[in-house]
Amino acid sequence: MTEMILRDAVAKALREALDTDDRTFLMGEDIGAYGGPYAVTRGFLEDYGEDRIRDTPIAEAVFVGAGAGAAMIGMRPIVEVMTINFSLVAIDQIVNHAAKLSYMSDGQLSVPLIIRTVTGGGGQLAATHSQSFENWYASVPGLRVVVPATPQDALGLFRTCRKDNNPIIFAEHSLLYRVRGEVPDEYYEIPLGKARIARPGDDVTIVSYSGMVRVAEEAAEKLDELGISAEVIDLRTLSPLDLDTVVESVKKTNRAVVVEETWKTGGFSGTIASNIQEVAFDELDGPVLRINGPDVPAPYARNIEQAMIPSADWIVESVTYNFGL
Amino acid sequence: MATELKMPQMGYDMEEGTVVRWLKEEGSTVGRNEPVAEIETDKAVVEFESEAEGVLLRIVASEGSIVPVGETIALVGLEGEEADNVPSAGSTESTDSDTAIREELTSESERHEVQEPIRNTTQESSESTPTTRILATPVARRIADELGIDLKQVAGSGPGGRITKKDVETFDPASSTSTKETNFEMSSSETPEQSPEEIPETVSETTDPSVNSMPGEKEPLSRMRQQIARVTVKSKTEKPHFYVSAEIDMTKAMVLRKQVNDQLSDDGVRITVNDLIVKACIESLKKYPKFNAYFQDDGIQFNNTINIAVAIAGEEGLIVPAILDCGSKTLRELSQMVKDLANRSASGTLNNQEYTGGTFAISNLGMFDVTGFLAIIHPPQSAVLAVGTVAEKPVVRDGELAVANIMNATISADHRIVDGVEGAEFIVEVKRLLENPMGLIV
Repeated sequence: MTEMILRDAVAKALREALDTDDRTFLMGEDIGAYGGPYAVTRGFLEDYGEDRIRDTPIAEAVFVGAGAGAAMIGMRPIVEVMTINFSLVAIDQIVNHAAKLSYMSDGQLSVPLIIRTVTGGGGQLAATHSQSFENWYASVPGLRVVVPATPQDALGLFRTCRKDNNPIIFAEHSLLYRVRGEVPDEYYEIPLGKARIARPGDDVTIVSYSGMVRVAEEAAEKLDELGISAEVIDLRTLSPLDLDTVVESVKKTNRAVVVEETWKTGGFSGTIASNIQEVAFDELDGPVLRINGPDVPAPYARNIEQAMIPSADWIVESVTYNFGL
Repeated sequence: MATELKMPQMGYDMEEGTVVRWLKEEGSTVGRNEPVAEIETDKAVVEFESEAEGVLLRIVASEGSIVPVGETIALVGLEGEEADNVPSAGSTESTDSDTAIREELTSESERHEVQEPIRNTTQESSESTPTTRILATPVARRIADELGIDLKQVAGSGPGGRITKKDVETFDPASSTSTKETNFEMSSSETPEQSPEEIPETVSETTDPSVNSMPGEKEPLSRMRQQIARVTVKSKTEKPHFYVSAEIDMTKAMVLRKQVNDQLSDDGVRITVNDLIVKACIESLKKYPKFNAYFQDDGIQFNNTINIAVAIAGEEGLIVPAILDCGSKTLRELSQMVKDLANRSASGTLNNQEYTGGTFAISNLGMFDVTGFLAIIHPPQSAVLAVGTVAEKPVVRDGELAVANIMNATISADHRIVDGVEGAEFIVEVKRLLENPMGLIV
């Protein structure tokens, strides 16, 4: 095992891709000379050269589309969209082209394109730079949506993504880049569509993903002090979705809370919650709770921004109040 | 305008029923009083008849769903309403072509009329929910069902008093029952004509702490068992029972019955002792209609028809269906009706009215060698006649010993409606009729 931060785990995954597959190249804004806006690709340009580490203009529709085109003709491109907020500029390329080409060509074409992007708020970057849209992409058939929460998962999931022939949104939470974790030294992969039990427990299941896993774990610790044993599930991927692990857990605990950073209306937590009650209604000992950010644009002021992001205390209060625990 | 078919009240304490099976599909034609579904109550599965004629526009309660009494389970209306109704209730969006079709079929105002009941239903149900529903989580309901626990007895510890899994799992029926028994003792001590020998049985079973016996296996209560428990406890706590017994000489009746059966055997007629008792009760009830009445807080509710309920032991327990409006039936007709009732009770095809409509009951254990017994009144009825077996006994006639066919009969009656003298008059009238059986035949 080696301890590393999530940023380095992603960099390691990218270097592996570049080292082992010459069809792979990186493309994105400021990934070359600048070393990447979040410093993931620092030193890459020197090591791999301009052909494989391509700085692009500020034109997401163009370089995401170019990535999809390259993938169609047999390359394995990895495109970095600086933040998921800017992916909206390229959403037509992602949803209408990359996600559809395999279907519309009756499988003659495939688009093995990995779109790496940065998601989440909490960094005082204000309304247009603090959003999370992985739930939007998870609703689009034909896309895979991968949302790692630990360095180990980031590396293991990325390795699997490289072998997948579908377009993938690989969303890295900006506040997780500096999170440390043990990463196995030997080669391993983590399958897509297999959730992780981040912490076992008996009384309540907290379902989360990406940046919210840490918050859920913190809540579980606080609940533990109250004598309530919480099981934390990290979904790892929203598409494909591992509902089985969630349902199995709820059958054990009889209670479920789904925590998600983005807005409640249309949030992916709604999909999880409705699935739980459809599949495991007779197992429930209380309502399936959804904890999402309120339906407002992210504020800039730190205190207000913090207030709208689901927190451990928020989870603890919801659990104790709604379940009478 | 569509008619809402609602979950019927089948049994006076029924709160909800399960839609077991739809016998008609959406869109099929239904006649008035035609069975459209099978409804399961605590007691049995009964056919549910449409009260309206037309087309089954929409099935609101799917198979297997449990619906509170009075809530809509289906809509029946005119053929033209169909296209209009289904999309409006089934989904919130409609395509342009849907809209076009709807415009063709009905005018704006008509459409409102059709959609109205559906909205009302939702409102009604949400309004009525808090008063009738027990707050319990799904898993608590499931476990309570499995363990045969009546959720009404369970105190909820969850938010708003909601019953949780833990509440059900830690529920101790003994403690709850003993509370009830205290109430029972109090109420019965105020009742002058209680039957004290009946009380200790339940008390000793659950509250005797001196016996430290090892508990055996626990058998979960079937729905019917729960229902019987509920009804009998309710009856014995609310209705001050009193009992009047008589020995009835059935010698003449047995002879007459044999003659009739011998003569009419070719017609397939076979009059039973029970048929004679039914007939005797009907005639007595005409004379003493209070025994055919219901006690209500604001008065005695007389019934214009006589519906004789007959206790029938089924596989799972006791049911007490009634032969309806039998006041003017001949003995032969009654015999046929009782037979038919028993057959249909065995096949589970009794209708709602038969289940709930009894105005007076007869409980006959004559097939066993028992002298007699006391029956519990089946609410909302006010009296029940319990009869034992007909056996040869020595009797004294004109100072001489003789052998007679003797049957013991006991009337249990609700003291709120009738007093001991009336009970005596009633049982003596039954006795007189049975001892002079020609009157029952002619």
